[in-house]
Amino acid sequence: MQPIRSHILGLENWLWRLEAAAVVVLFPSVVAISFLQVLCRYVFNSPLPWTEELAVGLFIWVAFIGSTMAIAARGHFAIEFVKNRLPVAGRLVAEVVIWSLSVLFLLIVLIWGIFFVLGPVPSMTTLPVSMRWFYSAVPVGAILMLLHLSLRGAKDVLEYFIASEETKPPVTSS
Amino acid sequence: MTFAFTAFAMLLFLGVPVSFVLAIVAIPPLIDLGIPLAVVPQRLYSGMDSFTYLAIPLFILAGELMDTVGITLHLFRLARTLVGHLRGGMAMVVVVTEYFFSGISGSVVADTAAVGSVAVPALERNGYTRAKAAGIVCGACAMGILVPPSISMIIYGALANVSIGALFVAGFIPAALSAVGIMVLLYVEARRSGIPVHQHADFKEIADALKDAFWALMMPVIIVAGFRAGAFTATEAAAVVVVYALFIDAVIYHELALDTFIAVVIRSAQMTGVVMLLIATSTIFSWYLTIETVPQRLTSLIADYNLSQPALIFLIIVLFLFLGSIIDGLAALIMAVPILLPVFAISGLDPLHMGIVIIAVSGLGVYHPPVGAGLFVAASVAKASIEETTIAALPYLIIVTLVVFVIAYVPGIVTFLPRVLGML
Repeated sequence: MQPIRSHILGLENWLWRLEAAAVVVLFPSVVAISFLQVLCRYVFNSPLPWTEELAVGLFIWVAFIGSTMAIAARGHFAIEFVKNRLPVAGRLVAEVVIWSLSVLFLLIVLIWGIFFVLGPVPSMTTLPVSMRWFYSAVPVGAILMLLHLSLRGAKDVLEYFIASEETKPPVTSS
Repeated sequence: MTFAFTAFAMLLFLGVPVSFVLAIVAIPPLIDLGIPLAVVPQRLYSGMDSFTYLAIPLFILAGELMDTVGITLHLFRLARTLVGHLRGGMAMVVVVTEYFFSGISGSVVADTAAVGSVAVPALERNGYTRAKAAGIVCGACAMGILVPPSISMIIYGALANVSIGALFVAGFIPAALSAVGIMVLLYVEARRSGIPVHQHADFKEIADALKDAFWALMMPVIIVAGFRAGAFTATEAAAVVVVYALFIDAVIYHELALDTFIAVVIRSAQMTGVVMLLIATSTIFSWYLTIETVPQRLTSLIADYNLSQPALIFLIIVLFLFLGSIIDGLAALIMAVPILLPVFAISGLDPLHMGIVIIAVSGLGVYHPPVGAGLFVAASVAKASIEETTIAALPYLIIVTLVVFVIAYVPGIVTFLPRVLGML
């Protein structure tokens, strides 16, 4: 089962790099556009109409991808001290419940998010670009989060079996 | 209602991420009322779709940049030439540095680590134990959340529709009160334990340090001046600050390599994701609260018990101390403020004043057991035990707590500066 596990790790890594590449392009663009707005408004006295809308749209992409990366890094705020004090079996149950509820919620976001993107979508008010480009952040974010959660779930299950196969005292998963 | 509340509390304490819980509890009633679930992704998008919220990622990035490019170090050196010669001066330096610096990124962990890593070795050389040093860092950082620009203020301002500029300015005096209180205590402690005194820095040293830190110090000046002139929105100020931080690094400090910059962007994007998902799902949660008529129930409860304003303020402080001790301050803020706003309106509490009080309390909560993430970070940076650090931090945290109560019951301290500057 070890080779499967390393495949999973590889996939996780690959996904992370993809997301990292996206935010490294998007986030500085948001900064640049917002700064351009300040420059044009206060220095050149001729505000550009489209900067605000575009910066916000891109920032929502950053938020969803960042949120995904926070799932991978377990960075979302949660109350953990109760879970950490539970006995091993209790913790296992807690993890399973957390995982299932998160997946359920994200599936709702994904499925209805696809309808949201494919439904009647207006164009940006300041540029001839469909808002679909920005709305897509919602289902794409949901897919990425689901992928991370599935990979982690698969990894945890594998590690559980590997640990019990080795009949050594169970190794706690990281 | 009771069932939903029990489910809500159970999910939270089980460890489901807060941002998910805020949305999940609303889903059964949505289905129940026959409202299409399409509102969920819609709200997730529209909950973020605001130019004001764009200030959040920008300030997070600015704060992370400042943590990384060594601005902390320059401020620390400047503070040392200014107060280093006083008795207990080295410890006061930490407080002054924090006053200049903290709270920008909203990541207490990053701030505590940045200041702690500079301050703890310096304090140790001056005869403080490592635990004591960590305790001082905790106290200083708990105060620092009130010094603008702080991400908590931006979020509160956006949630409660209070001027972010006014919140920024309002934080200065309460933070100064805490800082002075902590420094007096440090002086007394240093006298008692015979901490050595340093020579007064000569003029040249002060001038050098000032020259070094000048560009870093200009940052809050730019922000406040921008607001004062009524020119900048919070978002524009944030954009200027990010570009400014990059600019001074490129021209003066030269600390930032490409790979550290990429790491900073990725960290900031994650923090942005965490905060924004919370804000977005909280709009689903507040819809749910309205459906359940929670605000009305709460206000009628207050009327039933005939709660006076002072009692109510006390309860709110206790509530946020509790929330802050079990969960990150930002999460507590985003979760509780929508519930409390109607209460403020009914009881005639000023949302600006209460905002500063709540933010101060949530700054404290981060250093409050059992969760108190800040305490753990300070202890680990200082390589001291959590217990020792907690005990060492206690006197300073008590001072900040006292200041919280003072500003809670003397609103004039909070509203004075915004009023004088014509921001009210």
